[in-house]
Amino acid sequence: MPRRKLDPLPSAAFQILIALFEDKMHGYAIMRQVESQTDGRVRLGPGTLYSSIQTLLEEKLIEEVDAAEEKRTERRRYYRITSAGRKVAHTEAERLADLLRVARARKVFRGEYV
Amino acid sequence: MSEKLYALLLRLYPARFRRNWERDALQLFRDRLQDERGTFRRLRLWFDVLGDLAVSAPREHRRPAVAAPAPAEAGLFQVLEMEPPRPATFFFGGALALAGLAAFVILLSYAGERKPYRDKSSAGSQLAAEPSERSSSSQMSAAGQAQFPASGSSAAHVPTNSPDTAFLLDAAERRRVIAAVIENLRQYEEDRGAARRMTAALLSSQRNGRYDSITDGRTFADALNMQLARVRPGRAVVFYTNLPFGSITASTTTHRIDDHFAISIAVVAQSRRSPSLPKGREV
Repeated sequence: MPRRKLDPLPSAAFQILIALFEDKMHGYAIMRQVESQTDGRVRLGPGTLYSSIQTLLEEKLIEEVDAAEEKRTERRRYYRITSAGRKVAHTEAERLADLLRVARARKVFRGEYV
Repeated sequence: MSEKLYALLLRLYPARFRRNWERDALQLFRDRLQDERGTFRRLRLWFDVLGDLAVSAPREHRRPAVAAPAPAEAGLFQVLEMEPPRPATFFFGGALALAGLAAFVILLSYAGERKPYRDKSSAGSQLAAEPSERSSSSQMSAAGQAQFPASGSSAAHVPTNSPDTAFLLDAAERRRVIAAVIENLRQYEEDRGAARRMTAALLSSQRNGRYDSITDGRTFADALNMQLARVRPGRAVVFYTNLPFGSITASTTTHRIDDHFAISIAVVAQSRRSPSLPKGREV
């Protein structure tokens, strides 16, 4: 069985899936959303962003959608997550949660905030 | 300015990526330029962009092209590049081919200019036109060396068996040849009046600049002969060869001027020729 491009899921692709989880967005909005959800630690550059979007489109984890009527004049491309993308994002989140539980059990974290 | 620079940097990505995402990437960069003002934010923007370029451009070049699935029965063919050559490729290829062709043509024409002499067969036929006159000057030559035609011959250019070499006249060389021709006329032309008139004709043409534009020895010899023939046809003929004459044996009627020119002055009557006639002056 050929290996999938997103196995394991790269961090940038996962961040994009999370950013698109609630609403469709264009590229710049995705970049800003990722920056926001990582407290400014991750700012996706154009190359990484659109390279990841390309891969997610090829794997059908996101899809391009028509912009709303009032936004068509912007000539931006909007994307939304597909059901397969939600499933992959959910699986990745569970994997990270399991990893987090292990780290917590091993007392990797110092403090009570986790 | 920043946007143009980034547009140039985008050329580092493969054509496939640019075709799909160039407009979007430029739009994103434009959006960040509008939102991120101030020195620190602009520096951070360029730091992000250049760092992203360093990572993502090589990755995009390594990304395999998405090809349509081949039928099961068909053989598997793989190509490195799925897209046709860009118009710029054809343009530069065409320009390069034209430049190469132009250089080749220039080289050919240059080689043609450096080989002004006619082939041996035509030169030989020219000399063969007057065999009786040429036989009278057989005393001049040694085997394998250049020959001066006899006095009175109309063949003013001497062929050789050696390869051609370039010989271009300059003003000093023209003056030297004319002076030598005049000196030989003074010494060997028995008709003193004709000698003075030929000398006057040559000097007049020289003063009027008639020879100034001539750099080819053959043309120069023709021009001199034209002046000489107007005074006394067939009396004095200047010969030219594009190769140095080398060692020659002079005669009483033909006198070497230098390595490329010689002059032949006819003798009116054998009985009048002095046995102690001095040789031609070399210059």
